[in-house]
Amino acid sequence: MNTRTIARGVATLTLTAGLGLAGPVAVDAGTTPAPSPSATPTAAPHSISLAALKVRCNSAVQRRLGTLAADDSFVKRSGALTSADRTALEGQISADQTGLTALDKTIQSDSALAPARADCELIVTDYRVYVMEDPKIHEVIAADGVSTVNATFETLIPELQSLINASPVSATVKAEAQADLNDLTSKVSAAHTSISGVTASVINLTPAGWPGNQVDLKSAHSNIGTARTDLAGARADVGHILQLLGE
Amino acid sequence: MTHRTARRNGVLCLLAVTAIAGCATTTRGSAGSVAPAGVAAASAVSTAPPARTSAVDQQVSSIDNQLSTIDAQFNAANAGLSTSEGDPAQ
Repeated sequence: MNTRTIARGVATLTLTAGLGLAGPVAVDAGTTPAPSPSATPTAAPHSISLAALKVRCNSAVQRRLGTLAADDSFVKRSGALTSADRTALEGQISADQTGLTALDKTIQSDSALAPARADCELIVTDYRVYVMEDPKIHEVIAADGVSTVNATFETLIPELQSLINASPVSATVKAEAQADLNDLTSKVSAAHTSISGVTASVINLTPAGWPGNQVDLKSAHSNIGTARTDLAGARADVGHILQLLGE
Repeated sequence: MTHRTARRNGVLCLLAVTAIAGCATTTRGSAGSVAPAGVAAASAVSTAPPARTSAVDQQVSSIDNQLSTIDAQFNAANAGLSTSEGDPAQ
């Protein structure tokens, strides 16, 4: 993974995050015609022509396929995902891509408005790409990332202990460094506890469980945030220890 | 004739460069050999950090990269959780 690829990914994610911070967004709202202020009665949504509906549904499918392709790229590039989780997510993404593509074909071959409308609704209800699949994928990558960082910290802790033990600094400074290391160890342990079971709680969520499984997604997100805060504290401890030891 | 002269000059030039390089190496080597052992050791420490510190640096760098990735994924998930999915059929 080169720097440009990382930068592009971060920029994409930042943009996505910015959208999220702006509050709830109806992802397909842009496709819905805005009410007209004219005196002429506005065309009711159900009066849309079959051809126009097909265009709208195709557009909705294509946007979701774009999101899934981006997610697939993250999954393939992630160095944090376990092999099993990567395989599971790739399988889910692939199934969604296949299913949505087939659904679009079905819609495009529908010969009446009512069945086309019913099929078009399945783009949302059978896949939940934006509200479930996409955040779920990001949560699994983040949760596995926390586990990876925990493992790195667990390798680092004895190294730091050796540095403290061998350091020529005064006993007072050494004691301060040791206190930081103890705090670091405690924070890594807390992060481990927070992240335990998070991936398992979300990776197999399906659209059939919506909206109930939204609770699981939010709970997982909260646990990842807690773990991330602990890891930030642990990282700060490392910096302070190295500073104290003059490393 | 000109070609032969050029070749001869080239060989002479190569010999001169080799000789100068050899002198420089000898001079540096003898200066190092007369320097106090403590100076040599200090020089080695300043140019090559201890392996342990280097390993720690690598792990810290790895942690920083991983934390950055977690942040990006965490924020992306948050964006999804703040989204409602409109019905394209309506």
